[in-house]
Amino acid sequence: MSTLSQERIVTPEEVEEKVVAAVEHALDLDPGQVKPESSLTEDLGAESLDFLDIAFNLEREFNVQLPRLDILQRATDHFGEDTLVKDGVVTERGLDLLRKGMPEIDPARFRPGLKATEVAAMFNVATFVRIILRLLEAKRELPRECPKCGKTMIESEVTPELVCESCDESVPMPTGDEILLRDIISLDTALDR
Amino acid sequence: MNGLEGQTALVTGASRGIGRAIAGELAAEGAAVVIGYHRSREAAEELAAEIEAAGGRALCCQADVGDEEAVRKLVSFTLRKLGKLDILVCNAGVVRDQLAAAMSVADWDEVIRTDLRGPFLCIREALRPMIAQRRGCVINISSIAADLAGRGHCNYAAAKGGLNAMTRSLAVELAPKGIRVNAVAPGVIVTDMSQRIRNLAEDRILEQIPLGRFGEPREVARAVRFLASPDAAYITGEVLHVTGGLGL
Repeated sequence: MSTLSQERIVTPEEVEEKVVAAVEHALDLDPGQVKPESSLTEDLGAESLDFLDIAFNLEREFNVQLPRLDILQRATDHFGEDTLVKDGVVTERGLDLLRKGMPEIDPARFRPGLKATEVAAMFNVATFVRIILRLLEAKRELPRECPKCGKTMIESEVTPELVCESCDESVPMPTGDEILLRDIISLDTALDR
Repeated sequence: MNGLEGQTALVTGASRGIGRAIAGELAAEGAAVVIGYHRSREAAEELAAEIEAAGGRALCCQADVGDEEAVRKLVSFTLRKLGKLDILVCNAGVVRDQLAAAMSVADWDEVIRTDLRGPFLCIREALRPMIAQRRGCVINISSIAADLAGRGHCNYAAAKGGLNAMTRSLAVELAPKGIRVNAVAPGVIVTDMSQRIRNLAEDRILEQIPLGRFGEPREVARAVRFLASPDAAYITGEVLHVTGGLGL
C-alpha cells in the first residue's frame, strides 16, 4: 500500500478504503467481502493477531500509533477497578461510556449483563475509521520542533514517528491509548453533567 | 551463493565474536545488514567497512538492547535506512559468572536484562514491520548452558533457558503471519566471552566435546545463515545446537 500524503486532510472515505484493504489483506479476503459495518471478529473471524496485522498496516499507512487496548481496559487505570467493569460485567456507567465512545456500534448492543470480553468482538471497520480520523486530528496539533537540534521534524514514511532530517533524531507518535484515554475522560465528565 | 539477496538483517551485538561472524556471513550471502553494537563503535565501523569493501551493504547503529527506547530507535533506524526488516538476529549478550551464593542482584539483573529482556524488546519492535509484511525470520542466539547444567552461571542459564522457551512460544504465536522463530545454541566457541572458561578448564571441557575441539564463530554463523535462508522455510520453533556434540 502506498502511503497517503500527510500534508493534506485525509477524508473519511479514503480512510475507510484503506481500512477495508488492510482487513482484506490481514484476513486473506476477496475484494467486496468487507463492509463498513462488518464486525472483524463476529463476521470475518479475525483473531487477536489479525487485529495487530491490521493495526500495523494502518499505522504505516497513516503514520499513527493505534491503541492496543479496548476502551474499557484503557479507562480502568483512570477510573479504578469496579467502576466500569465489575466481576467481568460492564457496569451501567461503563455501558453509558461505551454508547457514547463507540457511536458506530448499535447502542442497543450495549445491554446490561454485557461482559467486558465481548466488547472487542464488536469492533468493525467503522471503529477503525473513527479511531484513525481522531489520531490524524491529534497528529496535526503535534509540535514539529526537534527536541535535540530545534530544526523541523517530518513524518517518517516507514515508522510511526517524526524524524529530524538534520540530526536523525526520531520521536514516536503519541500512542492511540494516550489520546483516546484523554477523550474518554472528557466524555465521562460530560456524562456526569 | 547469494541466498539472501534483497533481504535486510539486523544483528545485535554484532561488533565482536559470534555476532560479528553472523553479520559478515549474512552480508556475504547478499543481505543488507545493520550492525547493532553497544560500546564497541570502532569495531562495528571496522566490520561495516570490511563488508562494504567486499561489495556488501552494512550500517552501524548503537543501542543498549535492554533499553526500550534505544531498541525502538534501533529498529526505526533499520527501517528508515533499509526500508524493511526481514531477518532479526538477537545475539547481544553478557555473562556475569558467579556462584549463586555469592552472586549480586546486580549481576543477576544485568544478565537477565541483556540476554532475555533484550531479545524480547527487539522482537516486539521488529514484529511491527514483520507482521505488516507477513514475512520475517527471527533467530535468537541461545547457549548450550540452557540445557547443560554447570556451576557459576545460573543467571546465564536461566536467561538462555527462558530464551529457548520464548523461541518456541513465539514460533507458535507468529506462524500464522509467516514469521519463523528459531534459536541457535552454541557450545564453547572461541571468542573473548568464552576466554575465561577456556583458560580455567580447557582440557576438562575438551574431554566432554565429542568432536574434540572448540567451535569457531563462523560455524555458528553458518547455522544462522541456514536458518535465515529459504532452505529453512519449514523450520520454526527449533533450537539448533552448534556444540561439537557437547551435552549429548
